[in-house]
Amino acid sequence: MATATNALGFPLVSIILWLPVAAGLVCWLINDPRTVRMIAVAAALIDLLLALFLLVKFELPGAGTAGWTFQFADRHAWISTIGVSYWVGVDGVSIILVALASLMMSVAILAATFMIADRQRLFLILMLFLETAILGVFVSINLFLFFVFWEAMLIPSYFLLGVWGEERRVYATMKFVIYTVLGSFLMLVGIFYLWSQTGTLDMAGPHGLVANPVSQGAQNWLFLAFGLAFAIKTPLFPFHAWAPTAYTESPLPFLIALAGILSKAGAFGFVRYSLPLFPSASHSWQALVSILAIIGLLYAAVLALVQTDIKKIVAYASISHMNLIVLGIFTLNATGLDGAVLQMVNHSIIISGLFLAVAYIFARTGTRFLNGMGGLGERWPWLMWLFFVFVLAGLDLPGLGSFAGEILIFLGVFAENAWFAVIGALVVILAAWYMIRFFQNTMNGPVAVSADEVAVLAEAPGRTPYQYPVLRRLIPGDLLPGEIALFVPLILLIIYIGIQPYTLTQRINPTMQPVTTLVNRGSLPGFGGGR
Amino acid sequence: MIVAVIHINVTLADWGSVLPELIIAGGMLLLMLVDVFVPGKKVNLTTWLTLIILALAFAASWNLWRTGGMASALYGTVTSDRFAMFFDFSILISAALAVLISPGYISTSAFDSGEYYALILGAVLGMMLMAAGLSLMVLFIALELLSLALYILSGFERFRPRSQEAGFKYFLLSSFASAFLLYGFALLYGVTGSTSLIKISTCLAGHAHGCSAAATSSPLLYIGIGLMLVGFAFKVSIVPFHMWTPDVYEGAPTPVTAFMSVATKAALFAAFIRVFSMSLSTVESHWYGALWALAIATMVVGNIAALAQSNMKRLLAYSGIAHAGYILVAMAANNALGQSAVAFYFLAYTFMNIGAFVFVAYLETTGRAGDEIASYRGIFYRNPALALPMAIFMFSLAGFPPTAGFFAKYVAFQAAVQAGHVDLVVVGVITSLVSVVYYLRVVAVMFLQPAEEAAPVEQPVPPEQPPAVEQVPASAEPVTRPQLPWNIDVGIWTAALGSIVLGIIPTGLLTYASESVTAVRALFGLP
Repeated sequence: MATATNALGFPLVSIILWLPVAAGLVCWLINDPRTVRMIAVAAALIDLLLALFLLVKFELPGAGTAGWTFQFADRHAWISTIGVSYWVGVDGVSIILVALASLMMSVAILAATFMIADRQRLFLILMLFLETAILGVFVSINLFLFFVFWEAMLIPSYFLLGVWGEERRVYATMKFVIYTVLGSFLMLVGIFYLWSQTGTLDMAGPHGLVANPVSQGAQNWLFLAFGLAFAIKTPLFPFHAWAPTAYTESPLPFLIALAGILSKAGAFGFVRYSLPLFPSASHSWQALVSILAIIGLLYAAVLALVQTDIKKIVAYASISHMNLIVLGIFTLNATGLDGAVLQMVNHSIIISGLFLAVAYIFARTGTRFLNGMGGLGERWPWLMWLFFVFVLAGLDLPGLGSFAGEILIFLGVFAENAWFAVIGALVVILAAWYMIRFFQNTMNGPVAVSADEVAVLAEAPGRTPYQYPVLRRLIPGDLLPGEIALFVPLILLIIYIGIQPYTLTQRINPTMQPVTTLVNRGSLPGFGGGR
Repeated sequence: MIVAVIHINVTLADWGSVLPELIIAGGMLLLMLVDVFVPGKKVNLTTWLTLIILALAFAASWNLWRTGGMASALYGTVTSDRFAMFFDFSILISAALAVLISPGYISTSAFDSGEYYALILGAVLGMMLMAAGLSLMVLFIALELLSLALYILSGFERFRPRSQEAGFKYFLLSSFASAFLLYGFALLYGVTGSTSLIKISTCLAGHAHGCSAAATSSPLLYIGIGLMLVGFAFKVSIVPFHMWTPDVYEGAPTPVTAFMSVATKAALFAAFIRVFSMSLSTVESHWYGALWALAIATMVVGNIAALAQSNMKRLLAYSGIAHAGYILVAMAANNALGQSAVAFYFLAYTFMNIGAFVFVAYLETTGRAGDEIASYRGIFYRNPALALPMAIFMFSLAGFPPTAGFFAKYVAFQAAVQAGHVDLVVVGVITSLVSVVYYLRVVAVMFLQPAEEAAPVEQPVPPEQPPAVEQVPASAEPVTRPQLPWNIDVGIWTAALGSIVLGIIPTGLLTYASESVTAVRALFGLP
C-alpha cells in the first residue's frame, strides 16, 4: 500500500503544476513581445524555485519506516462515478523529476527567448502548456489524471515540432505522433481493464491500485499494454524509430524538453506504474526487456559512431543512454533502480548540454555536418571548453554526474545477470569513442572552412541563426553571455551530482526500496494486500 | 356496430410537457408568415427570429428538465422525461449554431431565407418528437417530419447540381429506409399487440395480460428487429447502410450538413436507445450480435475510408460514420453507464463537429474552395483565429485529452469494458489510432505547411526582434487576414469552448446524462 500525506497544509504541488498554464493564458492576452517573454521566463523560474523548495522540504523517511509515501498530496473529487479523482503529490522519484523538469523547461524557455524569433509568443505559450503537461505526468496519483497529462503532452509537442521544426518537420511530426498515440491508446485499454477489475484508478490508499494487484494472467497483458506506451516514449529498442527523426527536426528549445524531459516520462512510467502495478509480470518480462535494452544501447551507440550530422550523433547518444536507463530499471533491485533514476537526471542535463552545443555550432557555421567543421576550438575557445565538460560527462568520467549513475546501474545489472552487465558495459567504450570523435572532428584539427565559405541555406524571415533555415548572418564570435548562461546551471549540476550524488539518492532510495519489495514479494511489509 | 366513446382527457400538464415542441411548431408557422408578409430583404430578421424561437424552446426544455417532466403524456404517446430533454439540448444547440452561421451562406448562395429557417425548425420539431416519442406511431411521424425537411434542405441550393443530387439521393434512399423501419414497427406491433414502447416491453417481459407467451421467440419478432435495425442504421449512417452519407454531406449546403450531421443522429439515437435498449431490453440476445457486427464494421470502414478523403465535408462524413460506430459501442454495452455515455457523447459531438463545419462554411463564403483540404494550406499563417479553433476540433474529434472528444470516448469505451465487451473496445481504440492520422493531417496542412504566398519577404528580420505582424505581399488576395464576421466568431469560439470545457469539467454534464438515463430506465422498469 502506498499512502499520501501533506505536511505543508496547502496545495503547493497544484500551484507548481498549474502556474505555467496560467502564465500561458496570460501571455495569450498580451501582445507585447517583451512582456510575454518576461512572463514566460518568470513563470518558469518561479516554478523552478517552488520545485526546489519542495525538494528541500521533502521529508526523508527514517530508517525504520517502510512504505511508499506520497508527500504534499492534494486531492479533490472529480468524476467519482468512473473512479477518477484529481490527486497529485510527489514521492522520492517524482520530486526529483519535478525539479529536473522545471529546471529544463526554464533552460528551454530561456533559450527560446533568443533562439526563436518567428511567432515567439505562441512558442512560449506552447512551451508553458507543455511544462504543465509534463509536470502533471510526474505528480499524478490517479491513473486517469496521469493519462490525461500523458496525452496532453502530445498536443503542444505536435505544434512545437511541426511549426518550428526543420526541413522534414511534417514527416517527423506525423511519425512522432503516430508512434506515441499507438502506445498510449493501448495503455488506455489497459486502464479501462484495470478500472473494470478494481473499480478505482487511484494509485495510493487502502483501496488503491497498488494495494490491490490484479491477477497474474491479466498482469501479463496489462504489462504489455502499458509497457508499449512507455517503451515508445523512452524510446526503448525497437520502438525508437520516431526518435532520431524527431530529435533531428526539432527546434532546439523544444528539443531540450523532448530529449531532456519527455523521454524521462517513459522511463518514469516504468518505475511508477509498470513495476508496482504488475509485479509478477515485471518478473516475467524482465529478461526480454533487459535484452532489448542491451541491444538498443549498443545499437544506438554504434549508430552514433557513424553519423556525420552532429545533431544525429547526440540523438543516438541520447537513445543509447535511455536504453541503459531501462536496463537499470529492469534489474528490479534497488541498486539498479536508484542508478536508473539518478541517470535520468544526468542524462537530461548532459543531453541538453550537448544539444545546446550543437545549436551553438550550427549558429556559427551554418551547418550540422562534420565535413564542414574542424578546428572550431581554435576560433571559439569558450565554446570548446564548455562543450568539453559535457563530452567528458557523456563518456562517464568519474567525478562528473553520470559516473555514479552508471556504476549503480551496472552494479544492479551484475547482481541480476553477470553476462548482461559484461555485454552492456561495452557501451562505455563505444560512448567514449563517439564522444571523442564528435569532439575532435568539430573542435580540433585543421580549420576546415571559414565562415564565409559555409554553404548558406535559404534565407527565411523571422528566423534566428539557431533555427533552420538559418539567416545569412551567422554569429561571428565566441559564445555570447546568454549562451554561456544556459550552460552554467547544467555544468554546475554535473559537477555537483558527480561529487554529491547522495543528495539525490537519499530521496530516491526510500521510494525505490518499497517498490522493489513490492515487485519481489508481491506486497509491502506491514500491509495485508496479497498478490 | 360499436360506438366508441372517447373521453377527451388531456390536461394542461400534457400540453406543458410538449411545450418545447409547440414553441418550435408555432415558430415555424410564424416564420412562414413573416416570409410572406414582410417585404424586402429579411435575412437578419429571420435569423434572429429563429434564434429567439430556439432559445425559447431551450428555456422550455430546461424548465421541463428542472421539474423532471412528465413520464408519459398525451395518452402515453410522448414523454418529457430528462432523457428526451437531454437530447433536446444537443438538438437545439446544434440547430442554433447552424442557424448562426447561415446568413453568410444564404447571401452567397442566394437562398430564400424564410423557407430555409422554417424547414430547419420543421426538422428540429421532428427530431425533438423523435427523442420524446413513446409510441411507434409518434416515432414514425417524427421521422418523416424530420426527413422531409432535410430532403428539401439538402437540395436547397437548387441551382447547384451537387446540391440537387444530394437532395434527390437522400430522398430516394432514405424513404426506402423509412419503409424498412415502418415494416419493422408493423411486425413489432403484430407480435406484441401494441404500439406503445412501454407496453411492448412489458409484453416481452411476459408480464402483460393477453400477450402471447411465445412472443419473444416469434420469428416475426426477429424479422421486425432486423428491419428496424436496418432503418435506424440507415438513418444514423452505420456501415453498411452509410453509402448516402458522404454524397449528401458534400452536396448539401454546409450549415445544413452541420446541423443534420449532429442533430439527426442525436434524435435517431435517442429513439434507437428507447426502442432497442429499453423496450427490447429483455430480448437483448436477439439483437446484440447484429449490433456488435455493425459497430465493428462502422468503426473500421468509417475510419479507413476517411483516410482517403481530400474533401473536408466528405472527411467529416466518414468521421461521422466512425463516431456513430463509437456510439454504437457504448450502446452495445447496454448498461446505464453506456447510455449516459451516448447522451454525453452527443453533447460533445455537437460542439466539435459543428465547429468543424463552421470552419468549412466560413471558408466557402470567402470564395475559396472551402471544402478542399488542400486549400487550407498554411491557413494558420493567414488567419490564426480561424485555424486555432479548428485545431481544437480536430484534436477533439481524434480524442485527445483534455478535450470533450476524449472524455466522451473514454466513458463510452469504459462502459463497454464494464459490460465485458473488451473486443469492441480494442477495435475502437485501434480505429481511433487510424483516425488520428486523418484528423491530424488536416491540422498539419493548416499549421505545418506555410502557404506559398506567405514565404518570401524581402527584409530579413534581425534575430533580436521578432516580427510583430507577418507581412503579406500586396499581390495576395485582399481576404488574407480578415476580421471574422461576428457570427462566425461567436459560433466557432462557442464550439471551441464547449469542446474544451466538456473535456476538463465534464462532471456536471455527465451527472446530468446519467440522471437522464436513470429517468428513462425507470420508465421502462429497468434498474
